[in-house]
Parts: sequence; C-alpha cells; structure tokens
Amino acid sequence: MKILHTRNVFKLCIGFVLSGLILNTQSFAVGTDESTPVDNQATISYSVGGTAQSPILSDDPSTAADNDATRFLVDELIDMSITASPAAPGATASVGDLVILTVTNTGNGTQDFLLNYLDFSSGDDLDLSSVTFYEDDGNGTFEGTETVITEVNLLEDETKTVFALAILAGSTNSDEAAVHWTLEASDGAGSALGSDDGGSVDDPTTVEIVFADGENTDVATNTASSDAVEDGLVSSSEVRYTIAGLIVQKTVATTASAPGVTNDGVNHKAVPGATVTYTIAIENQGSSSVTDVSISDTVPNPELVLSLPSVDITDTNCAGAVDASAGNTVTVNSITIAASATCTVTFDAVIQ
Amino acid sequence: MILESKRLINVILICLFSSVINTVMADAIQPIALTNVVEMEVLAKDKNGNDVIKRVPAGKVVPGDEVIYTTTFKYSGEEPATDIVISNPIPQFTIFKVGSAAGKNTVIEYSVDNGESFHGTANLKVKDDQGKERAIEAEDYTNIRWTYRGQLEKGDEGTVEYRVVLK
Repeated sequence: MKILHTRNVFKLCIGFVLSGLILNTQSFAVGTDESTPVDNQATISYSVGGTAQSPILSDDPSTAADNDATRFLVDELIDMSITASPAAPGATASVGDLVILTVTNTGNGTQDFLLNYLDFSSGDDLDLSSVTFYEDDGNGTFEGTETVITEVNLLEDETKTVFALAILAGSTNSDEAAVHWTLEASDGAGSALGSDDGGSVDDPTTVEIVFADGENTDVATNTASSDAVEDGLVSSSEVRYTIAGLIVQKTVATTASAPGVTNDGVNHKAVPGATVTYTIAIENQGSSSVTDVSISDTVPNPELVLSLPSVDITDTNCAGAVDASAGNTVTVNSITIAASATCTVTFDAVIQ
Repeated sequence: MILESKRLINVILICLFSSVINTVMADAIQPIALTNVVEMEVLAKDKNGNDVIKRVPAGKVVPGDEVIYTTTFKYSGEEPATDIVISNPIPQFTIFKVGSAAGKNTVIEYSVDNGESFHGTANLKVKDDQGKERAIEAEDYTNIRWTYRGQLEKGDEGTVEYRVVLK
C-alpha cells in the first residue's frame, strides 16, 4: 500500500513539474492572466529535545481544509486603447468618410468592447448621420465586404483594425463634423459594463473586474459626455470630417502656332489659326470622395472651334470619367474624385 | 483511508513547494499551529474620519498590486522547541518587494536558487547569461527563511511577513 502511494506521488510530482513548465511559458506583457490562482504555503521546521521533528505546512485559516495553501485569484484588469487614422490605405468606392480605428486590449483577460463615437456639441457644423463599423478581414484594406460589427472581441494583448464608415448629415460644401471615437468595456451582450467591482466587498475566491483605463479631458470639453479615468471607456483624439467641397479652376495657353507661322517654336501667339489648350482642374477639398461629377464647357463660337477628339480624361484622379463632348461643347460625366485629389481635364480649340 | 489521503496531499504539497519528497509526514497532532494569510492594504477612514491604511483579505488583486503574506506560529508542545525555521517560497506570478520581509526576533535570509542556499542580502549572488556576476534584482528572489532566535515555550507565538507585487 505504501509503495503504491509512493509511485502515485512520483507521478503527481512529474505532473506538477510539467504543469509548472507550461505555466511558465505564459506571457506577462500585460500582467498575470485574470483567474490565475496564486498559491503560497510556509513551512516551519523545529526540534524538540534536540531531535528534529517533521516540518509543518501552513494552513489557510479562511478555508475549512487543514494545512492548505493560501490562495487568491487574479482579478480582471480592464484597460484598452483606441486610435483613429483618418486616411484609408487604398481607395474606397463607398460614399462616406472612412476612418481606420486601431483598438487594443491592454488588460489581463479576453474582453468585448463596444464601438461608438461622441459628436461634438460645439465647434463644428453638423453631426454624423450614421456610422457602420467593419472588422478588418486581415488585409488592412477596406473593401466593403468585411463583417459589420457593433462590438469587438479582443484577446489579452490583441490589436485589431476596424473601419468606421461615417455618413455626414449635411450637404453644404466645407461644413465640418467632429467626433471622438470610443471603445467601451461591454458585458458581451451589447451593453456597457458601466461600472467595475471597485465598490464591492473583496472576495479572494472570485474574479472581480477592475477598470484601469485612462482619461481624455478633451471629450468633456468638446462633447456632452466625458471620458474619465477608470470609467471603462477610452476615446480617440478628435477626428474632423468635411463635406466634399469642389473648387474649379480653368486656365488657357496657346500651345501651337497658326499654320504657316513659324515663330520660335516655343512662344506661340494667339493669332487666328493657332491652337489653344484649356485646362480645367477640379479639386475636391473635402475629406470624402465625390462621385458623379460632371463638367460642361462651351467654347465661344465663332471665335473658337473645339478640336475633337482632343478632350483628355486620362488623369488617374478623374476615375470613371466618360467623355460625351460634341459640337462646341465639352462634356465629361461620371467622374469620381477622391478626398483631397485634383482631377484635371484638358481640351484644345482653334482660334478662328 | 481518509488519513492516507491526507498524507498523500501533504506529500504533494511538499514536492510542490520545497521540491523535497518526504514520505514520512507529521502525525495528526501538530504542536505548532502555522497559519498563512494574504492581505492587501486599502485606504479607509477611522471613527474620527481620518485616513488610515487598513489590511483586508486580498480580494481584488490585479497586476501591479502589492499583497502581504503573514505567517503566524503558535507553539503548544510541552517541551521547548528549538532550531525553529520558517521558510516560504515567493509565489509564482509575483515579485518579492525587497526589504519588506519582517519577523521579530528572527534572522532573515534569502535564496535565489529555489531554496538550495540562503544568505543575507549582501551575500546573494547571481550570474548573467555569460556567467558573470551581476547585481541582484527583485525578480531573483525565490525563497525567504526566518530563523527564530532562541526557543519556543508552550503558548509562545509570533508572526513573520513579507510583501510581493503581482506580475
């Protein structure tokens, strides 16, 4: 019977050694994992009458068991971060403003977080009318086919990319909407946790929640809400959106001398028979792409005759442009111009 | 059967915490009651409304928090006990708070080799990856040992304590 016990002991000891090795491989980047039991036991050795006695193991007086290790469970520390980058990698064909949100769980356990935003209560012209969140499918580029989400699940130490597609509630050129993007600890069922267990009675045998997130005082200044320290919510710095504003400029240059006029080959003069080239530059000053842009320009007759097919729509900033020019009128339809891009169209006419 | 199970548990605990397989364990009657509690300090108000630091059971512990282990011993043997040594390993997932070990009427020594050898702080030695001796860091501490000065008479009791920070 005793021999059997000893064998079992050895097996158990090997098991403990192995489990110890496995535990030692855990990452401590953000601290010990929540729910981890931390055990400790003291030993006392002594002699009586000069004879060494068997050592005695300590007892945890808070439990009914005898000579058991003193244990506490590591509680859940909730901490996270969110940053917003206002430019998307690669173009998007979707109408609206795309922001890349980078969200990271810096707590010590897996956690769900709600995605949202706080509109500015002053200091801008309008609000966002709607926002759709898409979880990046791994390639870092928005295609519009990603899974639509309202909350994001993050493992300990995990960072994910989320695309936020915002639609502005307005149509006046250059009007601005400003927001703070937010990430808030959730109960996993669509609601914010709201509070942690800071005010509850300590219990070494349960895993309690402790908020450890920082504050963003700009939120209280800019919005009707706030982002206080240890409130389970973090926010990005402000992100501004601008209603697409188009600026059109038109310039002209004489680009070829009249037939029979040799001149110096460079400084062409605008005399009858010379060719002039018009350049129309359409700049999108907004923060979102614009679609279905059309331009129409009729050259004065009888002074000029439009040279067809001289209309040049090959500028890559004039995506989707369709040339429909006829007679003395230049017409280009269906142009999409990305945020901050300038689409340039040129055409020639001959002076009569 | 119950007694044998208990013996087995004791043996397992020994091999966990001291790496010593000792198949001959103490009898059921233990002349020393040894308890070990883990607590943390919180700010509270006394009856006059002043801030006071209070120790409470370590219930809400997250990485970076400090906890205090207090081991209390009480002797009930008829004959005096001598050669009294209390040893305690630094728990896994924690780092010893250097200088926090205390114990009245004891000599406190530390181990950086999982209890194989114990020395005073000044004589602790660790080597770096190249085998060169380097300065001791808090994470190097693996065990603490308190050697009681003198002997324990029936009814004598005392406490030793130390602090660790959860990784």
